[in-house]
Amino acid sequence: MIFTDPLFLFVFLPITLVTFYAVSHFFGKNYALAVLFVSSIIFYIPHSLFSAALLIMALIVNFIVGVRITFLPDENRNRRKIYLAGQLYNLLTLCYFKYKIVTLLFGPSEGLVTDIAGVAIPAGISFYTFHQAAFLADAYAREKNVTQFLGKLGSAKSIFSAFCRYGAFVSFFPQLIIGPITYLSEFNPQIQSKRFLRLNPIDLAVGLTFIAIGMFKKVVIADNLAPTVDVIFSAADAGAEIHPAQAWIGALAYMGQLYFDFSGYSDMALGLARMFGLRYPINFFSPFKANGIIDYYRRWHMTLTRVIARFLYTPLSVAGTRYAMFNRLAPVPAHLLSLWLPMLINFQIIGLWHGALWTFVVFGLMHGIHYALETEVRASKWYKNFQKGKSDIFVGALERGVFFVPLLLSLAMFRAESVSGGFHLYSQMFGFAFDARSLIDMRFPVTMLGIAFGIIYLCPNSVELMRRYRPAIMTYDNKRYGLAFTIGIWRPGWVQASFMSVLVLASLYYVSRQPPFLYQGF
Amino acid sequence: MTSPTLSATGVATEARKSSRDRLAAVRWRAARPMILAAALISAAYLSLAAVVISVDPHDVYSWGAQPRIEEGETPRDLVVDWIDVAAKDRTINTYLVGSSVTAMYTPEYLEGMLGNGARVTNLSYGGPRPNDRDLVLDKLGENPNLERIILTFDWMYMQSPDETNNAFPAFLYDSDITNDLRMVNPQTILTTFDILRGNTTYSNPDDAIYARFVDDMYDGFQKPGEMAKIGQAVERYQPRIGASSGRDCDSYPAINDQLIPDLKALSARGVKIDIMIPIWSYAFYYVRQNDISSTLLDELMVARRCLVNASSDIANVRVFAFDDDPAIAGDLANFREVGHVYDSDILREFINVLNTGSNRLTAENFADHERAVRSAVENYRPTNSRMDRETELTKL
Repeated sequence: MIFTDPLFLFVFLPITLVTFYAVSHFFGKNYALAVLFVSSIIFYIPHSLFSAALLIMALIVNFIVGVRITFLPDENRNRRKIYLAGQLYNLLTLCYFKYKIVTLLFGPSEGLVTDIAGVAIPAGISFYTFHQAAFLADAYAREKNVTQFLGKLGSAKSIFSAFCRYGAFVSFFPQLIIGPITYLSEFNPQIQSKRFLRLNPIDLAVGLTFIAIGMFKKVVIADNLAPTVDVIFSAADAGAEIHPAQAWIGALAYMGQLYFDFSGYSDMALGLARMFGLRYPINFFSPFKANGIIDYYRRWHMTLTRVIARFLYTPLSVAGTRYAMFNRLAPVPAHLLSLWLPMLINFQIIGLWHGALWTFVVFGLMHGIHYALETEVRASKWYKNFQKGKSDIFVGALERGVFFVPLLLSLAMFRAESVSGGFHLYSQMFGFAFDARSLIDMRFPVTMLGIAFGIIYLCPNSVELMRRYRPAIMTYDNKRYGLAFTIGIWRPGWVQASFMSVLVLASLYYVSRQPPFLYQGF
Repeated sequence: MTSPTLSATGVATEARKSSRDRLAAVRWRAARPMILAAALISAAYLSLAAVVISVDPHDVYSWGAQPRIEEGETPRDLVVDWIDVAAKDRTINTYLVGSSVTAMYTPEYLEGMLGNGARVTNLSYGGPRPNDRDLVLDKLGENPNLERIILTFDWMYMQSPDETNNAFPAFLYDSDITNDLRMVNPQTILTTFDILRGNTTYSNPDDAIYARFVDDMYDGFQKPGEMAKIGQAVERYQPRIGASSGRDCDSYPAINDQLIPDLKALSARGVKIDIMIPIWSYAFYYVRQNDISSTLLDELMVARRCLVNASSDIANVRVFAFDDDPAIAGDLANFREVGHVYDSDILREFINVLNTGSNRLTAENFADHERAVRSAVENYRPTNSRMDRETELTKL
């Protein structure tokens, strides 16, 4: 199921919501969490039965490993081995089912092993695998929430209850397919709170508003930009001559499509979770308003950024710094080892996380270099001197101007059907094929782009809009660039209800068209 | 000493409870508009869904309203919703399953051309793709009175078998009932209420609008500027227009795994299948290589060859093509766009060959056909007899 499907919105969601609150009222927390777990599996089954079986298997393996490493003493040598085995399981399933490593190594016809690998990539595998990898790391580090979350496991019933709690934590449907990747320290305190399970109408109102906004972003804006994107990028892949204006419109349309698709999903995820009384970490905070790529990655897919930074960048950078110090390397190689190399690896992994395609490798390289360069520039004396005495507005506008085009180009490569297709699009954007045959009628895409970028740059994001009701856990402490009076302007009321209704009805106009969310493919 | 303390605690608890209740009441009052709006929208949608599914305007269920396609109706935009209606109409025995190049034929015109008691429905829609074409053929195959299917075969078969036209409502025709709620869109709701008012036939007489659209397209295309652009494209791409794509028959799973099995299944039931290769201008291969493929000519020729060879031993299947005639495909005056014929005589002949059997492609004559098309395309010089005449008139 996808969030914009009427079956989900008008059947699955109300039934799950009513069952959850009814069960929580009569039977208590453990049963209510079991309802969330079971409903999440039902939500996931339409993606494929095989994927659902794989998800349940991953839950069982990680739960067992998590329990073992939580209750084994530190001095037990097996503890580390069990932890590594659990992480290896996660890594191998990801490589096997997502990256089809067996097929890559042995070719597509090597019997059962490649046949199993040949199934479609299980939906959300990257997200729930990272989710569980972070849980195992927390358990291994003896994060205090883990013991409290698992509770005492003295009987079969208590073990089953703990498993259902764990299942709800990992597979809760608002975040199962596209995140946010949540830490237990964000989930556990909420379910331990006395407020959890109390039906709060404000939660429903905030949740419904998020759902309405998210649905509008996805169905009305992103999906209406998609046809333009498809035409221009497939023409680029075919090596077509494209009018420069249309090439730019295609690249901008993808930028808008990706933004509203992911942002729409993120809003809906926050809203759905909130209707069940849960707050999730914010994954998306006006990334295109960022003043550079460093700021951008604190606003775009924030929960992935923090997981990669925690498990990859920081250890690599620390190791590089230590190596440089112990070996007394000269400043330049030391700098390369502690900053540039970890940064490039970090962004390669972020790129490849989206899939095993060369376009993602190039995308990762572009962002890695960009990030490292920006880090150097911002740390330089020249830049600090340049900033002095200049207004924040001027510097901000300049920084955004410098950042915009590289971001646009890197996202075009991210979408391109091949690396050559991506570079071909660049050549057309900066080329002179003014006599090329028109591929699209420009009026509709240009209007849609005007609306899309107007919303991006002039409106507050949904978290800012509903700030008064603490709609999400802030992943990073981001600066707000929107107009100050719009922050926290939303309150439940008739005007807001009418606004929400307009958004929903506009989305329902397109109800027959249900393309999946772009990030479902990752 | 103990009692007063207990009593104080009780009062405090009572006060807390009362304050909590007051807060809850305030919250419910504040959230009421949002919850009410959501409940109203949900109730309205589910009620409409219940009405639409009960009436079943597209006749996808066994209890459908069984609307009929009337004489003279060629509703091109809606045809994708009509597949079940057409398939379940036992009076129809011939279907034209085409694309934008065959959307102009009215059922009466086709019946007049085909004769012999043909009762025809034109199920042509723009931009068909392999997956939706496959669904359509499966559905039409359910009509026990089916005698003939006329199919168009174009570059869509170069695509992956999973490729689906974005506007095609696959959810109506697949076996998954969980996606059927998607049919509750404004158009279907209007049709449902039309049926409830007693109009059990579709009515979308768009022939006049369509004719105007085609004429406008022709006028827009027959301009010196357009011809100049085509001339530039031909000049630019001519040196490599015939380049090899490296493709062979294995490169076309949409033909091998979808179309051919469908043809075999229909043929086994005694259904006649006529496959029409649309007449594209030779300029088409130059202009559209820009957005379809840089080796379009080769890929299309290989695809045709594979189709002809694979269907040659299937009974009741015939393949027709016209574009080896430079007088037709070489003259841009015949077209409203490089891939769409405008000339009414050619359009008539396109259907007439089904009776005469001429222009048929077979495994034996295909090599000659391919050679002729390749040579004509590779040596093409843009020609437009209409504009040439106009230029001469202007000179006079």
